[in-house]
Amino acid sequence: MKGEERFIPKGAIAFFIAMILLYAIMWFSIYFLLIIYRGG
Amino acid sequence: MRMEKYLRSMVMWHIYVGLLAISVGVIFGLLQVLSRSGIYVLPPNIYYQGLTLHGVLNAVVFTTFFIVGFLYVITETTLKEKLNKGLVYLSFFTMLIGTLLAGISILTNKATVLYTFYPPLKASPMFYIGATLLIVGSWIAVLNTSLTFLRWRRNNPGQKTPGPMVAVISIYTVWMLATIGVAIEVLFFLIPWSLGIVKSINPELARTLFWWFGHPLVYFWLLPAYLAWYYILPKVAGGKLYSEVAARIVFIMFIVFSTPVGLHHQYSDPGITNVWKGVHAFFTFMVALPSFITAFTIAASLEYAARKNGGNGLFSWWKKLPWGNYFFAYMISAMIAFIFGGISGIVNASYNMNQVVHNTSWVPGHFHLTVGSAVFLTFLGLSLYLANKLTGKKIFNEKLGTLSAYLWLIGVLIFSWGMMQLGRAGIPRRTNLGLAPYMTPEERIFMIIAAVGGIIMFISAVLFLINFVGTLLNKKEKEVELVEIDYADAYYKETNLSPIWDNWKVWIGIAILLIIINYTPVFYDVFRATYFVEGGYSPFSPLPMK
Amino acid sequence: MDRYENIAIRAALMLIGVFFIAVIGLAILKGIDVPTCITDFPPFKEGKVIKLSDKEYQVQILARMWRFEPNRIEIPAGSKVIIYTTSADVQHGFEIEGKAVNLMAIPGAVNKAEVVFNKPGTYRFVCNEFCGIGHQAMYGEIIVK
Repeated sequence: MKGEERFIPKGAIAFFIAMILLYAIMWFSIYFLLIIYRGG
Repeated sequence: MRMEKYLRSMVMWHIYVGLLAISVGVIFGLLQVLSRSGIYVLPPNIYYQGLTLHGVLNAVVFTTFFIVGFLYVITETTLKEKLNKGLVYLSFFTMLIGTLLAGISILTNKATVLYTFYPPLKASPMFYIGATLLIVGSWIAVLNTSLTFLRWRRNNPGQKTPGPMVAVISIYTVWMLATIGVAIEVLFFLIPWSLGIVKSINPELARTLFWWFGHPLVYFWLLPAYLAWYYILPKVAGGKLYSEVAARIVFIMFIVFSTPVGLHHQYSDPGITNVWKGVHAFFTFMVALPSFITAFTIAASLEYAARKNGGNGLFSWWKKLPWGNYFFAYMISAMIAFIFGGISGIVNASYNMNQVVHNTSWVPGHFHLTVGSAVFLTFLGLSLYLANKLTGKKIFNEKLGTLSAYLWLIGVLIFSWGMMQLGRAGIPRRTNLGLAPYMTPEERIFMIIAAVGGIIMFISAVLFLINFVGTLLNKKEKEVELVEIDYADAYYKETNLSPIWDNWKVWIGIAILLIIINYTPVFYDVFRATYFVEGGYSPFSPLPMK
Repeated sequence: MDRYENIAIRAALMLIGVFFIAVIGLAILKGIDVPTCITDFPPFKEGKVIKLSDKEYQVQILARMWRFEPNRIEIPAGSKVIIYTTSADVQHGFEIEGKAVNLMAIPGAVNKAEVVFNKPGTYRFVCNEFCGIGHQAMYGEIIVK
């Protein structure tokens, strides 16, 4: 890589995993809301 | 590269018309939050007229004018080829006349049908003809850009399409595929119907044709913002685009997946089999994929810049990014808002989960984060950037731009949170809640919180307009001969890219095929299960119009 | 394609895969679904409530500019309601708050949903599609005793 130490996007991977966890939490909160609304 | 004086001023005129539309549009946005929260209640005929203006001016006029102007700059500075001057003027004035016709009909309260203009609510023919001219005007710009690209292709045989131009091709392909739907709806049904030539109309058919257009429309807005994030932001932030191949594949995925997904706006509609709604849900999940790739690739590009600037650690590198720079401030605020816009969009698209949020305040909560922030803030940042590059004038006050960007982010997060709480409780969107008898006190509190967010957003927009006008009033620093756009270099370059990734006929062909496959059963259902009805209605009287 | 891009794509595909399976599973296994295409029920001209049995009711909701017919329905707790909606004039929405029942009422088309009311209480339904200057006042109630 023309003398440049290989850049590994560790920070971007950490951000992406955090985003995916946030997405799962927010999504499932509405998913259970649907089950509760349709159940009652 | 040398950009002719006529084009530099024409691009600025596209931005002036767009920002003029915004400055009227945001006023009605403010009036709406005040009216919905009961702080200052508008009578319904003014509220719904304002709501139509807010939608049409912000989401159609501003976006279309800005995008056409912005992509002219990208096309010429990337291909080093000249656009056709006559077509630039023809496109601009066609769009302008269309906007004036539609604008006048809304201002005279003859087209209070909101930005989706669902029949049997009937607007004056001037509104539909105006909307048609705006779209036809943009088609002329697409023609101009295509001819310029084909000329570049002939002059550079065997050369790969440059990255930013891949984005332009993707944007205008999505736009052409999208506008087929609304063109059929308006030309074959709404105009003859509003002129009285045709007596009846099929509302479900009109809805289906509109939402064939309605979803890819949002990618027509979003992809120019992606273009700036991929190909300009990394350089401004002091780094490189992490992977050129990823960017190219993302824009190609949008060509293929943008249009065969319209039913996720129609999950609650009658007359369409739920299986086809499920198929469109699947393709909507597929079109979410390129946005995930974008989140990762831009984060990696910014990390590269931060590390070069001495950033280290797993999370602390974010501190080393140029947060004070106005352009970066607009982009990063756009992207932070878009993180929450993305997940709320996936909730909307999630088939039966849509039953919880359909047509509720959750939906404007969602799209003020996407088109209202991710696209809007990016375009505001680009407006200042282009004003500086094309007119040679210094920006009035860069720190004011930075402040306005972060202020909008704070305001829109508060606004969207409040609207989404209302949405979970089932409170409808597009409704003058200030006069609604069914609001409970705690629901009204959520709306007041949303109003506070809306007020902050309004202040941020005013600060931007001050900054923009101030820039125009500055004296010319230097005569602009060479227009240099900061195109980012790539860390991972496209070395041995297979030619399929540069073959536009293949991807456009696949896109058309998918639209045919996904929409044939839908129209079959609509024709066998829904009917034409007589009579058009104005929003002011329950009696059908003569 | 760079190795880390591939990891990101696979992670994203897994996430939306889980979402899609969870959603389709709910529709198939628990019958929590979206409205579908029905051709055995022509668009009707007036709203009414039909008692099919003690615990089963059929309700025809006619949405019109700016009132639901009927806009007040009383049923015993535990009863199942089969709801049909259409419109006499422009497009309306029919949404029962807190029950995730959300139907469009489109002129020239008939929509259908089934919902069970176990807990007693007052369930509010509202029009959630702009239908003119009276739109914000258009609502009704289902009283479950």
